[in-house]
Amino acid sequence: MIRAHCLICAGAGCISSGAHALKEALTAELKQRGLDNEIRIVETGCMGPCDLGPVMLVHPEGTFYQKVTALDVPKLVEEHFIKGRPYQPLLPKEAPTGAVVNTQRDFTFFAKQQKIVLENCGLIDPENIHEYIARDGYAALGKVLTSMKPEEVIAEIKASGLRGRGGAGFPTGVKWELTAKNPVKPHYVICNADEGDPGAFMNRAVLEGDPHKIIEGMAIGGYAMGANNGYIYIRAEYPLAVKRLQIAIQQAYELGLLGKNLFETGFDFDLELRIGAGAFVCGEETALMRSIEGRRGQPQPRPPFPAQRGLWGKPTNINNVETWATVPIIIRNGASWYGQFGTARTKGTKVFALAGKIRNTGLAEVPFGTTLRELIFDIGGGIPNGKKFKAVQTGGPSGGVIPAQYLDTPIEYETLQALGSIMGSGGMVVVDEDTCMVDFARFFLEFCCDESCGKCPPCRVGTRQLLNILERICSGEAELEDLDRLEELALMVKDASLCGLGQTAPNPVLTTLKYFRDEYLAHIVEKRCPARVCRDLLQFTIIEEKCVGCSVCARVCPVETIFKVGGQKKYYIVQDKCIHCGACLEACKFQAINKTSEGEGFIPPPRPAVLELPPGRKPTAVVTS
Amino acid sequence: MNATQTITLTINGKVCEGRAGQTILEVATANDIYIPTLCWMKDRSPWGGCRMCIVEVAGSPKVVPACATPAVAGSQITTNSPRLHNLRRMTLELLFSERNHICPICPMNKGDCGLQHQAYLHGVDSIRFPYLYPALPMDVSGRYFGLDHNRCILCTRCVRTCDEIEGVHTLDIANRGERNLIVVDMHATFGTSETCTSCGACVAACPTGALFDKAQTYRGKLHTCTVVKTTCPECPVGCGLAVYTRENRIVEVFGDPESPLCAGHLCRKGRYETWAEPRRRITQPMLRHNGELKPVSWDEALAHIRRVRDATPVWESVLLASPRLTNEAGQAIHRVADKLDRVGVWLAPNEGALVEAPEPLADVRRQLTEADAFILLGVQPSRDHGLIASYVRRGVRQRQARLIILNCRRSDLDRYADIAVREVSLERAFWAQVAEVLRDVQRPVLLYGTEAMTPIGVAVLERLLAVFEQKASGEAPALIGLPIGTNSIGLVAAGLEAVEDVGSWLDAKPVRYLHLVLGDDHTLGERWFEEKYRALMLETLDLLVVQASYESPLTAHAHVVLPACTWAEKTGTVTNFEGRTLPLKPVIPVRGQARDDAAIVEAVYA
Ligand SMILES: Cc1cc2nc3c(=O)[nH]c(=O)nc-3n(C[C@H](O)[C@H](O)[C@H](O)COP(=O)(O)O)c2cc1C
Ligand code: SF4
Ligand code: SF4
Ligand code: SF4
Ligand code: FES
Repeated sequence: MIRAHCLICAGAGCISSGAHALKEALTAELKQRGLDNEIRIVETGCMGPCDLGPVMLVHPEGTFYQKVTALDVPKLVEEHFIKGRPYQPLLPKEAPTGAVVNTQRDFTFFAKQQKIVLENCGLIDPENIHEYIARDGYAALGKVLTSMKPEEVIAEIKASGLRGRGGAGFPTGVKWELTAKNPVKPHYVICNADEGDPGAFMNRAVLEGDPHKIIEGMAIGGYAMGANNGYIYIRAEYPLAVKRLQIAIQQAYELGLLGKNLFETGFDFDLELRIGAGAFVCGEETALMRSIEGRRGQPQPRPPFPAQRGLWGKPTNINNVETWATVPIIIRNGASWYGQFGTARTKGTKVFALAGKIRNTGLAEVPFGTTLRELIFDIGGGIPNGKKFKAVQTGGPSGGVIPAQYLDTPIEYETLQALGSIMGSGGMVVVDEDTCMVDFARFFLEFCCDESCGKCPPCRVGTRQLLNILERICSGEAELEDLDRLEELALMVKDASLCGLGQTAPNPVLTTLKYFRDEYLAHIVEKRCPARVCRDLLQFTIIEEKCVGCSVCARVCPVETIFKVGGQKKYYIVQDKCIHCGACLEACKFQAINKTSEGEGFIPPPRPAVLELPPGRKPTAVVTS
Repeated sequence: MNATQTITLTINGKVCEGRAGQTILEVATANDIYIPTLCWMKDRSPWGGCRMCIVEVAGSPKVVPACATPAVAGSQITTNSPRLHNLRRMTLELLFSERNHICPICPMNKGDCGLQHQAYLHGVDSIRFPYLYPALPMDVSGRYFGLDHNRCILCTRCVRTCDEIEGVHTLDIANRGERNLIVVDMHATFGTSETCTSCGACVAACPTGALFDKAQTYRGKLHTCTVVKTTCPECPVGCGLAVYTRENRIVEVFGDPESPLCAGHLCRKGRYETWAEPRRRITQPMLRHNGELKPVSWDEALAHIRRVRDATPVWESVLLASPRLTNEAGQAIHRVADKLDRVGVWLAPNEGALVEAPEPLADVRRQLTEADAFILLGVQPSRDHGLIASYVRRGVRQRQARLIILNCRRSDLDRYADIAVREVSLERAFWAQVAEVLRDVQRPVLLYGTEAMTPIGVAVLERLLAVFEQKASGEAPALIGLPIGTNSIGLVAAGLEAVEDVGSWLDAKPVRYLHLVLGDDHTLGERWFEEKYRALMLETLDLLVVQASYESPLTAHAHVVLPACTWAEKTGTVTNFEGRTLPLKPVIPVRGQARDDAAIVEAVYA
């Protein structure tokens, strides 16, 4: 008799923080105490709050444990399963208030979410098709095959208002109809599981946590669009997702849910995995199709769109993982049920990956129309270490940044676009006051420049020239006219590039220019980095009163430019040779080193009359004064 | 969508007609509206990468590349606006800033360069971005051409041409973004490539000075050259040549885009062996005196030949001609045949049956471009008829045509073949396999060559035809015979005897006077000495007259050497494998005292 289920998150985050060791320890402990017949352990997909990992959920109570290590297991088993009370030290705390959270339901991180796509993630064993079926899995496929015409399926998807989750938000039903109506045969369906945005893992969570949902969605789509073949294009960097998909596909074939004559209706549907080599641009749909064809993954101009001329020249429909995974849920519950979530323009929910300077990093699924503030402060728990929120970048590396004054914006494709950013695949990188916005733009532009496929000059050369200008600004070498050139070129790259990569790559630059122009001016005119990040614009000085003369700074300085003040137990940094590496700042235990960015007005502390070599340093450097 | 359906759209306010399926660029061009391009090239798949051809479509915020975007009926298109001009201009600036486009030291400078041309059109008078100029290597290991990556704009015209026209896919792009580089066989150079056929089509396609013909470099700007169209003298396919000359020198040879079969493409022989090989030209008559060849006047040379001929009986005098001669030279020889015992044209082994009164072929281009199967029997297209080999590769690689190669030597085509057999057996299992490969074939083409004329070859041919007769559906194969000599067909038709085995032909009767009419043949001189005894035979002659354009081991043995015109200097016609009569036109003036072959023959036997 099973009296409790122990759900251990086996998402990538928790696996890397030790979920497997936890499972082993727990299995052994339960066995040793003779509880293994009463308590079942299940490995699930990602539960969301990744930085709390390894996490574990115990049902039926719904107790949620965080940061559970193998060492905690004996105590935990003792308390929870023997004594029957939650093991207090491993319960999470509510971010702002510090209140202890007893169950998952009470944890704001979960309470404010609306799990639709992720309904099974963290709840079922993704390697067991029966657990999926037990949660109404494949019922939707059975329903469309036995009781709906293909046109009716498309009508239902159209009525639901579902929009593509791969970034552009194109209405899915409309797209399906274009492929369905194309007289050229055969048709193909593709699942885009390339997810190349650094830091994004919403697709990964579904792939690893609920792979059958994608398979079911694609089979439904295949039926609706008259396609008997589907491909899942997945990146090689997701070995666990690949493994779970392979298992899921095999199980589906074994139960006759893939292959010939599904549900005895005469409909055949075959599904194949294709492993991508990992270039970011291969997530762009035309590049992805070329890659499946075995050619170099480079984007092609559209039109012709995939629905007109796609894989091997045939009509093809390509959707994102999240889009496909939503399909069975819509069919199961109906378009009008789905329509209750979201806004008038955008129905349903979206999964976001919270990252950066935010307390609860991880995955969160919320209805469209949720405000940035709710997502970042309520679910995400706000900014840690008492720092101030500065901006949030939405939509991945080529998303724009949105400053604090727009925090109450409801999240929708159109609203983000109006602010100069994008929905993208759902990345959210939160930035606090310690971040330099010029450096931030430079960082993401570098990513796009590196990932540009090189096909078109605006992106291939344009991003490099933009990056060069930003680097000059960060190092204080830029002039005011560089700012105009930066803006003009950024607009040009956006306008003239062939594919979405080049067309969005300048977003971080353009939005930081729009909302944080003063920071650019500070770098260019005053040669100052207000957030004290850009290394070339920093100054390191020793605060005389705080210095105890321990000499550690002088010893770590790689260029030996810290000297002892003659006759005193104090140290002094000679500025000319300082390379602003910050090693002294990190080494000093007495907060005696001051990092500033004062620009050209910087006046170093008066130089002592006599400087001595610190103890142990050989007299190589000639000290002149 | 009907391909012949007419559609109407508006371009720059002008109502334009086009056909459904055409791109915006095609409709605009047909309606005399210019759109700048760089990566686009006729008959190659559109790339849409360079972004020069971007246009605005009413109702869409994004610009689209005209070269790759299908024209839509009723759409309103703008090809020129301040926005487009600015985007194109900045794109050019970026290209100029990317690599080393220092025009004054580029062989393409002043007018031949597509990039420079666009820069002029868009008023690029300064580059506002710092030059990036990564130090990139240069590949000059190829025999005829080199690649300077520093001038490459990554338009991939070469890559697509290599893949889609010559059909070999030697070239590709490697790496991402700013590290993009054109590569040869992934890691090779032109000199070490195993797939490159040296057809030079990539060079012809390159809009900049990145790919350049070594022989053309700094010889003159193409747009200042005179262009003469003539016929390739190297094989019986007879591709059209567009020859560029300046100051009476050949500067470049490209395919003639209007030539029906080649449509601008050539093989290595036509493109380079015609002009880019170093050869020692003979420019005046020479007479052997005291064992050494000395320059003499035409009169002296002719008088000497006459003296010897007067002393030599007709039955001991023979003339042997190269298969490269024109029909007119062949007729001139035929007219003086009564003054000699025998006149012959030197063919390849088994070539005779292939060239004696062949049926004229019609519709070859259509057959080659639509074939869904190629059967090669005893023929070496990669070596002998480069253009035909490119059709075979295109068919196999683009249309998945079947390919069966029987009784041919090894070649690059083997790797595309369903069946490739050096010596066919007559076993039943083998023929069942052939029948299986050909089962669903509808439009087969059978290319056969000299080796199909042997007894074994004929037996194989019969078996093949039997396979086709037993097929349930599909056309009978189009039979295309491919001789080896450029004008073997025309010369045999002119009445010259087909000589396949020169040794026994000469040995049949004693010979004291031998006149070899080589014309501009650059291979026969070597071939003569392939069998040792022929050298000895030369010793027994009273007079050996060698009429040739180039020095060779044969001219070194001659008593009299008569300077002949090359293909580039002569007027006349040749008859190609289809039976079409094709013109040779003088491209440059006659060098030195050289004379046309027909005129020399007439003078010798006047
Ligand atoms: C550079 C680039 C990368 C992309 N990467 C992805 C990706 O990883 N996953 C994805 O679903 N869509 C990606 N897209 C969007 C796809 O091109 C395409 O729009 C999407 O797969 C369509 O699916 P949807 O209609 O369900 O949104 C990318 C687009 C660009 C321009
Ligand atoms: S925009 Fe960038 S990634 Fe896209 S085709 Fe152009 S070079 Fe390639
Ligand atoms: S070598 Fe010439 S044709 Fe080839 S990509 Fe470079 S510029 Fe274009
Ligand atoms: S195929 Fe023959 S005719 Fe054509 S270019 Fe080559 S050698 Fe000349
Ligand atoms: S000519 Fe159209 S993009 Fe290059």
